[in-house]
Amino acid sequence: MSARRLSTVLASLALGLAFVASPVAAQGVGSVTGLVTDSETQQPLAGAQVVITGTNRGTLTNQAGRYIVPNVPVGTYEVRVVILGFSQQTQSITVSAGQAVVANFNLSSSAVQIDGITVNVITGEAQRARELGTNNGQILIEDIPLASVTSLEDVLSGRTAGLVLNGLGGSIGTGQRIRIRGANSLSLSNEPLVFVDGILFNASIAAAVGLGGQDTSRLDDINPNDIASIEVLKGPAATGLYGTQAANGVLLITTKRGTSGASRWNFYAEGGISEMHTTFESNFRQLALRPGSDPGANPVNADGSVNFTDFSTCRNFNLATGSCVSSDVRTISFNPLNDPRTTPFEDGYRQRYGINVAGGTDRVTYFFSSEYLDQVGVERRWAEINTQERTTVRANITAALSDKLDIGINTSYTKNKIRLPVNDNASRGNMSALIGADTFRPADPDDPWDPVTNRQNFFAYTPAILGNDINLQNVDRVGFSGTANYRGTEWLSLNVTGGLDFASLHDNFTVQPNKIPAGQDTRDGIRTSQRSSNYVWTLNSSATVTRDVNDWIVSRTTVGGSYFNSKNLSTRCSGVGLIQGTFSCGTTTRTPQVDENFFQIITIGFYGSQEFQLNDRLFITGSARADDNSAFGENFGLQWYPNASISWVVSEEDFFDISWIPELRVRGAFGTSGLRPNFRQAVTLFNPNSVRLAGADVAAVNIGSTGNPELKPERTTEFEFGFDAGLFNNKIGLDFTYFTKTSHDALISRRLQPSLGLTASQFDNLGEVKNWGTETSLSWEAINTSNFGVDFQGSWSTFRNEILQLSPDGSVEPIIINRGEQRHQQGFSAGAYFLPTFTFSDANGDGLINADEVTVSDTAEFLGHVIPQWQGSFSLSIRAWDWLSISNLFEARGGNMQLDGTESFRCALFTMCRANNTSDSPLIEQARSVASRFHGTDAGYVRSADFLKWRELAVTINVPDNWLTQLNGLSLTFAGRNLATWTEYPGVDPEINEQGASTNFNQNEFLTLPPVRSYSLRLNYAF
Amino acid sequence: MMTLTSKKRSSRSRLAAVGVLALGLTLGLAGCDRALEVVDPDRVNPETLATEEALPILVASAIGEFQLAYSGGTGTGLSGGESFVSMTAVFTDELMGAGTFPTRTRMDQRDWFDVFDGNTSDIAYTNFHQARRAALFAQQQIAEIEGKNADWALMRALEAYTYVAFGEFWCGAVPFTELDETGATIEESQAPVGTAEMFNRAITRFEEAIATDASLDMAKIGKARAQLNLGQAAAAASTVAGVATSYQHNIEHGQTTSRQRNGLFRLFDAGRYTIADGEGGNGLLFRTASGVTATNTERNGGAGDMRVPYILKGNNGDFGFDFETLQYRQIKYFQDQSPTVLADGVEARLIEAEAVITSNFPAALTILNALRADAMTIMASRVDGYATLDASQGYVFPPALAPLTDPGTDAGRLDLLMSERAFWQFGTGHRQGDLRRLVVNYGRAVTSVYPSGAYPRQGGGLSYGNDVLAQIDFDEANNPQFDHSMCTTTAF
Repeated sequence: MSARRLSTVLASLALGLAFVASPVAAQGVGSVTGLVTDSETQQPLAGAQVVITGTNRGTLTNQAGRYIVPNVPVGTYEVRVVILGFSQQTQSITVSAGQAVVANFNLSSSAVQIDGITVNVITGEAQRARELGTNNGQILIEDIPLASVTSLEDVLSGRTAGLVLNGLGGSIGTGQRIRIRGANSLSLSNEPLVFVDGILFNASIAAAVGLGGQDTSRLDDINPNDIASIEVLKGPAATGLYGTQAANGVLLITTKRGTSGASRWNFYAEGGISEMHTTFESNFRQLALRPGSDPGANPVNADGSVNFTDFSTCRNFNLATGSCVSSDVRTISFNPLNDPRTTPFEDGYRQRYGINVAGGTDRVTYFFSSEYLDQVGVERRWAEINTQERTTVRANITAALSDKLDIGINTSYTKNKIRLPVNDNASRGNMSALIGADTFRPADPDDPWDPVTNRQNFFAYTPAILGNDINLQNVDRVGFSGTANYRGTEWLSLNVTGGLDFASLHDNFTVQPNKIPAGQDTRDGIRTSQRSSNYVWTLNSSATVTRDVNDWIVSRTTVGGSYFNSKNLSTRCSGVGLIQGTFSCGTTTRTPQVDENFFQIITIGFYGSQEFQLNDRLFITGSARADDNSAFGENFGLQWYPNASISWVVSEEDFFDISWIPELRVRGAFGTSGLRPNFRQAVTLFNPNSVRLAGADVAAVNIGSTGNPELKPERTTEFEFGFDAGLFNNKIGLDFTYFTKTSHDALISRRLQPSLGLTASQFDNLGEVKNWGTETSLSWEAINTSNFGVDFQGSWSTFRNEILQLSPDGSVEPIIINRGEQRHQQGFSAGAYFLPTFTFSDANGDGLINADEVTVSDTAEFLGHVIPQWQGSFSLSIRAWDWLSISNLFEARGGNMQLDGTESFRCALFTMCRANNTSDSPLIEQARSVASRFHGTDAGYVRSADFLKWRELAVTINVPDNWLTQLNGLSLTFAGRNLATWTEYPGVDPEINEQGASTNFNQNEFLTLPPVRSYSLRLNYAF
Repeated sequence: MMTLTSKKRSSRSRLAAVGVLALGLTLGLAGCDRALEVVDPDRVNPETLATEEALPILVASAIGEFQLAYSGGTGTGLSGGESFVSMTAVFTDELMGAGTFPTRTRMDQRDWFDVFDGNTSDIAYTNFHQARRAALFAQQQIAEIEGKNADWALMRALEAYTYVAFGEFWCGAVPFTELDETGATIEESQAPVGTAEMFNRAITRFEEAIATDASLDMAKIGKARAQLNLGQAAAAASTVAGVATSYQHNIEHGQTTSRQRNGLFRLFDAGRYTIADGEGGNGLLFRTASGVTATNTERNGGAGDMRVPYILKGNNGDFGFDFETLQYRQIKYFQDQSPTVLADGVEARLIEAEAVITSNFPAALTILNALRADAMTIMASRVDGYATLDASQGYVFPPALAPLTDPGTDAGRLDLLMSERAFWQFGTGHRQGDLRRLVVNYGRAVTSVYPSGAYPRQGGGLSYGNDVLAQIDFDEANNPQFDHSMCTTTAF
């Protein structure tokens, strides 16, 4: 069936439903009003959802906990109130014409979360957690001390089971990998989709200028203070209706809305510092006294240089082979990164000021906000090379234009200016000092023209010189979304959501002439500039019919369509020979290059969904979505994604009578979702270029992609099942989920034999990748009185990953990545470390290891996983009276390995590591170094990356209500982040990554800036 | 009235439903096929190239691919890339490492990484296959549209040169793929070809090119180069007999795109290599050949040979990228546009000299000295800005080349010839072939020809390895008929 025919069928179905369903008679209207409160604290609950069941009418409580649902047709109804953290309640009411029925609710808190609300972005439908067969994560921003948050990634990390962020580094403005339930795809991105207020958000715009490793984070364009909640849909079982792009999960970010009531202003001011707290390894040199030299000679000259007159370099492997012989061996060392005379680090700072106002009437609500953020990273002692200045503005308005039509408009603007440092795999980074000097020698950072003098304390350039590498990214980002919800009848609702996420980026890199004494181009000055316009259009529409089939069955039928269009246009220029003081490709004098780039992918999908609710405790849902996509091969048509789920609140059944389990829900779900190929992967295309012939440039081409007309999306099928239980009066919430998902037709960037003369790889649907694991969450409301509260939240996740096949016939060889250190190999986890292993023996007993005393295996062997095998987090929140609250967050992760590329480089190539230069070096450390230097295997540097980190601490003091009235709403928070790390990993940090978030599986640290510790003080005033 | 009102409302609701649904599903109803159309404005479709108008583009493309593989830079922005010229220079005794990249160091050490880890030679292996495919495709299109002509001959000769390069540098098990009648690559795997067969294939193709365009002297020199590799020196001399000494076929370089740049210039500017001097005991004295020892002569190039111009000018002060190795910068290619000689009349004369090096040394000596006597003219005609290198680069020209004398032994005469070849053809991708021939055709031991013994860089304790050929890219293992066990890199 073609996509066009399918769309016609679905449209007809939707239209048919609209016509054939019978209307509910309306013989006059009344209203329902009331107050919702916390039964234990008696405080009003704002934001609770009030629903007149069996209709599509409902509202939210305002800041005073009050609500009103007008124009309810005369009749008898159940009113249901739902809010996360409390058990839902229902009341029967009878509405009479022209009368206001009062229904107050006094909700009991509940540690089990089965009644939170999720809005399906595709259908626009709000669903309670109890209706879903999946275990969705929900992050409420109000529960997070924002003073401890430096980026949106901080909001995500350690908050929900199954969600892992990897690659935390110390440079502000850089991103991390986000992985939900492992990694599905070997060759496509494993990042989840991100929606903001129903609009697809482009979180994957890479920086256009290479910085050695790290890349900017586009999630950083979102102000965490504007966010109300983040829903985490963890896999295809939950994301089937999201279609071809959603196999990696979905993050649904919902920004704040106003609630009816007086305007409520909120002002905050925040200041903080960040510090480099890592103790780095020193650079060592072992020296042997030359024969005949004075034993009293100092190995370091007065000017700080090594005394090579009386000493010669004599590493342990030199001693081991007898190439240097001395009874007088000494070690000198220097630590340029930590030594106060040379360190490039100085405490960074952050200041943030924001204001927002929310309020409204019964018909119109609003939320306006603005924030200014200014922060400077720790690489600032000699030159501030890591800065960020961001301004955000947001306006969200909802309006009930009539009893039947609601609209919502969300707009946002972000101006984000980032300067990023060079680090990682780059000589022009401060971290290259880890392969720098082994003695302190006076440096003159003000003289950038004499690198021989200045470099003495570093590897290549002084931090002052590095300040002349100017890498900037300017972002102007606009988001607009509009939502219309039309309740044509009591049983029919229509929803349309559309909008645009537009980001204009200007990446540019400038080196002024005569500032960095590197190659000729650099000396002459360089300018590279790329301006890009990135568009993502979203349009979703749906029709939902809700009907009471009988007294105990409610049917909900939804059909709809979905459209995504991502487009990128960019122009890049570069040139050398920059005119002093200018910042333009137009002022370069040679090697001019200009290029235009284009990217576009369009997805169109159609879907239908049928849900049956039995007595509001058994929910059975089936759905299917069909997608077509511009990136599919020309011979491939529609892709279908079926889904089904069941959820049963067993504890509400009459037969269930276990007093200490007041709430129990069992659930299960099956779903299929996909990952589309990327732009140009299905077609063979040639890149235009030019060739020099007879002294002139002429047009030419070279092969740019080897297409595959059969290309289709990966299909990931997931099963999950589990339970949610409230124990002991719902004081303890426990949920457990087991998931297993398999990616079929996995897109493999199949390496082609070079002898074909084609491109290095071709995408093909060949592979099969399986992920499975468990998620367990425990919440314990230990104490909850009006004066004191103690809450504990913990989660534990396990992950397993296996490549079931790289190709059906086994013809595809293992795919080697990350300089041969890792590979995708059938039967092992994706991206696993594979290297020749070694054994060693100090055969001659001299306490030294030479090359002959290390034996290396002939073949590469599995050394460990890159994907964490487990993750846990726990937080403890304490509330004392109404003026003090304390919260903590700890996160642990492990079962995976990390390649300590920095130490390997220091030992094997630069020979300056401790293992090569101290007489008491453990044999194993010497063996690691020798195996790498002389036998070419880094196996010894693949180390366990298990860790426990104290992520955050926040102490908030609120001005008590009985103090000065004028100060009510004032609070002061002290927060800290990255406060402590417990790990046996010997390198700089177990979770940093040389390439940040910019690669799929490559994992190693290599001259990477580790996470910094930060403290902040935040003043918040709400009035 | 109530009933009527209710009906009206119901009708309106339905109409509204129809309206909104129609809006939401407009795209689908309008036709997915069109809605999904994406026009790619900055790539070239294969159909565009299958026309008569595209023939010049195909010819230029094949030349460009060969440029990239043989002596170009790769598309890595402002940093350098690797080509046949740079790799063979480092692998042999022409250049030494001055950088930090382990793969380059291992290449300099003649000790390749395990094939799984990847090697510097991999990219040129791929580039040559792409160059070969581009030449094949151009040949096919030219033959079909215009018939075999001079362009076809040039394409055929470039294809033949790729066989020469594979034969000289990579292990003796290289697979090659052909095109079908539509120009598409035949993806069925092919069994690898041995070294002799590669040179024979090259000769066949050079002959076909010459048969089509008898004036194509680069094909004659290429054929002779292949013949030399097969130990057919006399036949090689016969092949190039008519080539004028002034003839030259250059690989041109430019600045417009990264691919066009002179790769060796780029690598030196990035501080990766330095000119070697007696590397590994067996290496020639590329820096101190003249024996001039006056102050600063090694700094300004005056201590060397005028055919290998260099100065001490590092990427970082006097040092290379590693900040440890003094970087003697070759200035034969001192800018992106500097051309590389692929084949010229000097090579023709050297081939003629080799053919008689033992049988008629005086004749060989006459040829060699004639070239030396005309060195300034020859260099000026072949090297970008050569005559003004003193002014532009601070180069001090070494003494003029003195006539050579007879070493008195066959071995000495052969050494003399190979030395002359090395200096004349420095940085042109010939040295690896020469060292290979010394072993294969002249019976020299590898350890007397290639740099050997202790490797002097990176803290000591390292040794030169045993590799004399390059490993095949790991990805070739995806060819079912190829196995890396077929590939021996430690013997010819």
